[in-house]
Amino acid sequence: VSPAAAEEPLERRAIISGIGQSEVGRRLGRSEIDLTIEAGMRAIEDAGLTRDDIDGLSTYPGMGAGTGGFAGPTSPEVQDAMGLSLNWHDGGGEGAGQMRAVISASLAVAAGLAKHVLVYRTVTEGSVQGTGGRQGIGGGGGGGGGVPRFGGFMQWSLPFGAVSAANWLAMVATRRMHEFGLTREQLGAIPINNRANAGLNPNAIYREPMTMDDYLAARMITTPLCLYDCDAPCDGSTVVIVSHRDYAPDLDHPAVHINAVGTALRGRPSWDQFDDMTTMAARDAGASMWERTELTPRDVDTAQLYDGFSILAITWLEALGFCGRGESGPFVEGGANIARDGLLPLNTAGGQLSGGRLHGFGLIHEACVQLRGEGGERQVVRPGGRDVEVAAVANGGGPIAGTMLLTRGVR
Amino acid sequence: LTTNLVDVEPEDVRVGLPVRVVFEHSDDVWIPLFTPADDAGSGTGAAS
Repeated sequence: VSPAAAEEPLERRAIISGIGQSEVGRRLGRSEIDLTIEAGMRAIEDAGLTRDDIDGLSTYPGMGAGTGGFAGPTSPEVQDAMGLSLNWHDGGGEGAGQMRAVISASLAVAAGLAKHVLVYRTVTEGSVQGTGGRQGIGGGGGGGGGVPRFGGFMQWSLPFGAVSAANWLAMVATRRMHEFGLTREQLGAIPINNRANAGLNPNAIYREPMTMDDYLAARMITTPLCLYDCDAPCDGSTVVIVSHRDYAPDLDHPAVHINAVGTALRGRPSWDQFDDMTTMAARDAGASMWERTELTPRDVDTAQLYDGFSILAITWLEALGFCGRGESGPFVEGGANIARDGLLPLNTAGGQLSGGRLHGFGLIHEACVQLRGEGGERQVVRPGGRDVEVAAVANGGGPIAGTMLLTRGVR
Repeated sequence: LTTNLVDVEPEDVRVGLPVRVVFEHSDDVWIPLFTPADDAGSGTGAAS
C-alpha cells in the first residue's frame, strides 16, 4: 500500500487551514452542541472563511458510540445547528484512532468531494462523570431489559474485573516493566513533563507544578498506573478545518500541511490478543506513516503523543521511531529529552494528563499551534533559533491507533 | 487471555508464575480461572 517512489500520497494535497477550541474545563455546565459551535466558529474565522464556505463535516465517533459525555453531538445535529450545506459528510468510531475524522477529511478534499471540511471532537465527560458516570464505548449489543448484557470484547474482560482501558493498559505497563525494566520513575517523567507544559497553557485543566514525590505518592488506580498516569476527563470541543492545499496562499498565517498519515492495523484487532502487547497498533500506524514520506523521525521538531494513559506516550515514542524498542524508559527518564528545550519536545500544551482529555484532538490542535509559532510562552524554539517545522501527532491506544506528520509549509 | 488468578495473594503474583486452569461453574457457563501450579508451591511465597 506504500506509494510508488514518484507518487505523492493523496493526503499531501490537504492542509489544516484553521483551528478552534472552545472553553475547556472540568464542569462547564454547557451543552455539547454549544461547545462545538463555539470551537467551530473560531476555527472557521481562523481559516478566513465563513459558514457558507464549509461544505464538508466529519467527526469521531459520531452516532451509536455511547451517550452522555463521550460521543459528542452527531454530525446531523452539528450540520443543522450551524446551518451548513454539505457536499460531503462523515462520522464514525472505527478507523485510525480519533484522528480518523481528520484523515477522512484530507482524502475528501484531495478527491474533490469537498473544499473545506469542519472536523470536530467534543466531550463533556467532566460534567457527566461528576454527576454519576458515563456510558462507555465498546460494550457491544445485548440487553432487552433487566440486567444489561455485554457483547463484543468486553464480554471477555468484564467478568474478570477488567472494566476499563485503565485495567487493560495496566497489564501493558506491567509487561513493559517485566520485559524492558521500565520503572515507575520513568513512567512518571511523562505526567511531570506534561504538567510543566500545562503551567504555560491557560486552557489546561491542571497547572500547578508536579514533583516526582507527588507522582509516587498519588493513589494507585490499577497497578502499576496511579492517578497521575490517567488523563483528566473534561468538557471541551476542538475543531480543525481541513482544506485543499490550493487554499494555502489565501491564509493570513502559515498553512499546516498534512505530509503523511499512518492508518495501519496489521496485528490482531484486540486489546489482549495482539501479537506484541508492548506495542500493539501504535507499531503498525507508526510504520505505515513513515512508509509514506521522505521525512524521518530525526526531522521531527515536536511530538504530540496520545497520553490517555502515560504508558501510551511511552509506547508511541518507540512506535514512531524516536527511540529503539524498549528504550523509551531511559529516553524519558529525568525529563530532559522531552522538555520544551530537549531533543523531542513532548505534549507541549500539557497533553491529556494535565491539559484535559480532549480525546486526541487537543494534541492535533497543539501541533498546529506549534507549527504556526503561536505557542506564546510555551512556543518551542529549536536549536539555533529555528522554528518548529515538522510535528508528529499520534492518537489512540491498544488496538486503536492513527498518526499524522504535519509540516509548516510544503516539505 | 484476560482472566483472574485465584488462591494466591496479589503480592505473590509475578510474570512467569506457573499456573493451571480451574473452572468456575456459573449458571450455564464454565469460567476459566487460573491458580498457581503445584510445582509453584502453594501460592504464598512463590514470588520470591
